[in-house]
Amino acid sequence: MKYVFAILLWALALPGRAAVPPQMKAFVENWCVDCHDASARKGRLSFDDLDFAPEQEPHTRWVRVFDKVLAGEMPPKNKPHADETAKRAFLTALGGGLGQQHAAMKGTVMRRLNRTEYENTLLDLLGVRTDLKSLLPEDGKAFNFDNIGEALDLSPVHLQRYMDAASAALRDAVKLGPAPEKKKVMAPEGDGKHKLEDGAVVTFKANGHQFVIPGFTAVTEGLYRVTITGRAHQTEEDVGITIYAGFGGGNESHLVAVTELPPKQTSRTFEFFLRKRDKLRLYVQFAPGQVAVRKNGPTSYEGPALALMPLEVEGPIIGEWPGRGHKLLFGDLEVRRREIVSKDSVADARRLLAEFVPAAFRRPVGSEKIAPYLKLAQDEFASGATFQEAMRTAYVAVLCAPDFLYLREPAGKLDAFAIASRLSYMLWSTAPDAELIAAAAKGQLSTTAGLRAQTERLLKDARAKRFTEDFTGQWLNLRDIDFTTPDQQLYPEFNDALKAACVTETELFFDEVLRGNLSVTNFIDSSWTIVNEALARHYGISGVEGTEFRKVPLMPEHHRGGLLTQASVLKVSANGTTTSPVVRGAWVLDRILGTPPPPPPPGVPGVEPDIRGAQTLRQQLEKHRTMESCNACHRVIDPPGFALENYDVIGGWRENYRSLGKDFPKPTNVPANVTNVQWRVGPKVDASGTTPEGQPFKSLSDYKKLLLAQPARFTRSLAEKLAIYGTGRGMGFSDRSELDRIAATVAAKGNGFRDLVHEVVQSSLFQNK
Amino acid sequence: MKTPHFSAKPHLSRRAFVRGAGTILALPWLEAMLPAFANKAQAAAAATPPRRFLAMNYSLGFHGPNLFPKEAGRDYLLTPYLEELKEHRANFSIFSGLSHEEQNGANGHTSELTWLTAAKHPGLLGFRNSISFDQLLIEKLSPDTRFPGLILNVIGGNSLSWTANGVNLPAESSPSKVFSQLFLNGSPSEVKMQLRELKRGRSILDTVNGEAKKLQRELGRRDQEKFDQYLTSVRELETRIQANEMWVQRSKPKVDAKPPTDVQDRNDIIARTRLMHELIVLAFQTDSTRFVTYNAGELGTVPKIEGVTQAWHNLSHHGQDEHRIEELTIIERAEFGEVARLLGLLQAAKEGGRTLLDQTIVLAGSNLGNASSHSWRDLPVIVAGGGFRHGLHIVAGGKGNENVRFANLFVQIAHRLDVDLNRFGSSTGPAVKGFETA
Repeated sequence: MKYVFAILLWALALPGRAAVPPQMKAFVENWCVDCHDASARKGRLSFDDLDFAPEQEPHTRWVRVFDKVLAGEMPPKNKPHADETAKRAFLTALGGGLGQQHAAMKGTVMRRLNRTEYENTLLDLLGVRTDLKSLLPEDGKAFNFDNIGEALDLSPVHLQRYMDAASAALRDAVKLGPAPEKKKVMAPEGDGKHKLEDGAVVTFKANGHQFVIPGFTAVTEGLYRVTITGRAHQTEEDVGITIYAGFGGGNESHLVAVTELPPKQTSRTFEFFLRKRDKLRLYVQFAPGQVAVRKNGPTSYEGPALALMPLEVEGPIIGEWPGRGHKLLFGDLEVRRREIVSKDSVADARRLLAEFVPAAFRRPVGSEKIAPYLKLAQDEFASGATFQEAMRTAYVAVLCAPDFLYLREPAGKLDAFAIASRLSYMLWSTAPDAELIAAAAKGQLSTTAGLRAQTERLLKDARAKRFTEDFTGQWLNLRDIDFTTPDQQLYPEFNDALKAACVTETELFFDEVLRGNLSVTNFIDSSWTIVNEALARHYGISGVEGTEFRKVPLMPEHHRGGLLTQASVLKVSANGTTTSPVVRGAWVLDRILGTPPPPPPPGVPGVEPDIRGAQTLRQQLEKHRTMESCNACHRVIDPPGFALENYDVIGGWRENYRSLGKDFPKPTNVPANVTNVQWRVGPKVDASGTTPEGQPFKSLSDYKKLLLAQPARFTRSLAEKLAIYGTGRGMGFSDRSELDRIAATVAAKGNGFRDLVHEVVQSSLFQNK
Repeated sequence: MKTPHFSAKPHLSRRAFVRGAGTILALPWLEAMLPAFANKAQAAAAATPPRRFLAMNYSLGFHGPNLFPKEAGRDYLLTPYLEELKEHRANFSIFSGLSHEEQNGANGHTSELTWLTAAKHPGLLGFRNSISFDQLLIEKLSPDTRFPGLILNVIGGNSLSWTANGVNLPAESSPSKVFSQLFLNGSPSEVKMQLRELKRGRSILDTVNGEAKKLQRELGRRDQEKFDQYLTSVRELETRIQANEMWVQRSKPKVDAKPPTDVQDRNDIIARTRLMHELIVLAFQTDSTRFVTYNAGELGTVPKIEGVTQAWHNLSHHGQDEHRIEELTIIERAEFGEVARLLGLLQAAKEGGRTLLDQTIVLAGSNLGNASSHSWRDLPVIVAGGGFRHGLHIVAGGKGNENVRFANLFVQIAHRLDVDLNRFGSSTGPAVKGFETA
């Protein structure tokens, strides 16, 4: 109320240059309106029609005014200047007003569970593995995240699909028949097959070492568990394996597992989703000697191969049997001839719903919250439904209720249960477990130590993997890893195993920094990374063998360190053919520095790449950097993109661009595992540039040094990303001081990433709506 | 009439469809049906054949030099792609110089979100999509058909259709599923079961609606605004379920065509497109729906077309490489070949002395004018059928920044469908100059 009143006063005091409040009027009159009045409108800004109103559009413009004056960019250096005192007074007045405005309009807008959260929540509640996500429409995004209340809408289609999804999950949770049996799939086959003494089979296909798993076709869509047992054959080294699913009924094949087997017999188990009619194939990686096999037949071949025992395939796995879902839904009620038997339907329904409703709504509830669903069950029962059908109807209703679909966060300071939900959706992407709810009920989440202890517990739990995947997937846009397929003519070394390895590297790197509370500056530059053989080869790091990932030290000649040199990030910031300094520069500004550039002005066409000629994209871009109107933004956007030019579209190091132009020379040294090279050595890369502050750099390693010289900037940016992700809202003017405080507190303690997560959770941003 | 041909291979039994749906509302309708049809007054107008609208977006665009004629007007020389459509020359027009306003968005391809909505800055901060043209037409006309609209795509991903609050409506990419929903009747006991499920769906909505109303009173202003979507959705879904209780008891139209067998291979884009096209014709012919959107798709992989060896998306970024443009041309020609076939089917189907094509406005185009540079200017736009005066290359506007608003054409199409519409999105006028009703 106080805020509203204050703003009203501001808004009323508008004589003369109508829109500008009196505290700022003199400054605006003296130093701004020459260029920014209704007739001049430089930069499309006129103070004649810019209200100081507590609404998004004018607020955003005034924040820009504040930032430009604060940064000293306005009034421009070549124009008359206000003295420091006047400037400070103006900023104090404007900042105070903007802070009040924003504080009054902020707060997480009632947040619907997104598809990922919905699926996790329901699967965790019922202990099933049903694929629900694909039933639901895509979620809206804001600030690069898909868990922002404001951007998550709901339509009749959602409601319809929520009914379908809840029904499907309930169907899988209720176990009325006998448990499914494990199915053993027998020996693999190949063109030239030989059986070893212990029954292991070694096979070769003319087109490489490949095992088709016979007799196995997924009968239905679902989760399957596959155990392979075997050993490396005719070699002392591990043999790498990739497993693909698909092939049946025209299903597109996709990589489901990467592993290796040592010379000693070993079993490995994987779980993955298969579509109906999927078959499995197993490929031996990096197998030399294919030519020899093709020429001389398999029996005389003495090189490395794989000996495989019969596989074990189990599935589809529908969770525990009979499982916690069945217990939660129907307790210990007897099952007779595939029907649940209730002797007292009213009492049973009441008892079951009293368990189910609070579990679904993520907080204790009174009987008035249960009553409508009980009534629904009874009505159904009365109209001739079986007990089981009637209960299912009530359960579907509970799972379509607003208390389940939305996070309840009334205004002001959040209650303990709302905090519990925020915390578990942030770190687990699912509902709080029983222990977290109990901690909330006991008031432990309102103490610093109690909240810290629960945060630690959640971070140490296996479900924190979802935080890593979901947060990095969106913060760094790793979710788009499949958006383009690298051009096979230009990048023949790229394959699915390498692609999977890129994403894994970044996730493991993130985990390592988080687990060890290492400095967040590691994200900018690090003396280590985490790779497997495929990725090490890609990076030119020697001595790494096998598909297992491990931490390795980095040397200057590797040209690696930090997120910016990871192949995942370099791939998602490029298309499959070319890199653009503009796209990559904008990516760095947005994702790393937290200062996304404004969109390109309307009416400026993109540069059309030409991969034939001698002109690089950078040279083509040079034209529009020489125009003042373009350069105002591009002097900020392009430099980080220039610094990344030594990295190609799949994150390989390059000193020259690859080209398909026939006038260029053929490459002399090509990676050993690549055959049929079609690309040529194109123009030389220029990775130099100058930051907008005027600091020159020659390459990415110089540029990273400049970033590291002001680590606070990155810590602050990461704090903001975590706060957005944790609260489900964008950060604004009145959040600035709290974000500054978080960054400063963490910096004083050594910039530890885990400390940063804790500070965000403990902050007023997280504790309030 | 030439009966649309479907593969005669054995198909899934009807029971399998019902079981496969596995839903509490095993409805004989697609969720594509938006918004609800409340108004049945249209029945009176049934004497004259209805007009239909089909929108098809090819999100990787077309190689401009192969498409746009150099000459304006009636006597243009056929370009390689229009060569594919030459049989239908009198029944379509090609437009150049059209685009939506300010389509610079989150990345080079986000203009595909707004091809049929004309909203600005797709994907950028603060972006919220607006209602798509097909959904607006449905809302205005409330067609009394089993399906207010069909929302289709060739493979997964977004559809072209959006609700007024910016939710993307899911598309169906399985012709066999669409076919069963359009034409396969359930047994009496299945119909009974469906009715029971519909009734149960309504009871569920009743229950949650009561709870939602209680909750609404406890919310602050901004939460209330957001939560209003929930209450509105409950109401709309209730209306639709009611309508479906009526439709489920009416028998579906009989067709000669055999149920199609889905093409599983995603890369066999042409075969998949052909099946969908045949189905679209059947849906119009039986007046099962009057509004169809079709996302003709794109692939990051190699399409299964003879002579194509590289991934489609990469080919679209041809970088002026001759060989790539050759392969890209093979793909795009094949797409045009399918459009020609579709127009042929619409032309062959007759109703009330006219052809189905005369009664159907086909809008085909792309959200990219040049995919190699991600340009959203100079969009390729083709309109066929619908009773317009065709046979023209209409140069609607100048190049690039001189483009005329694509949405003007939408307004003109709306008028042709007797929808009173002053503006759509960024439109600046009621029609594209030079394009007229026959």
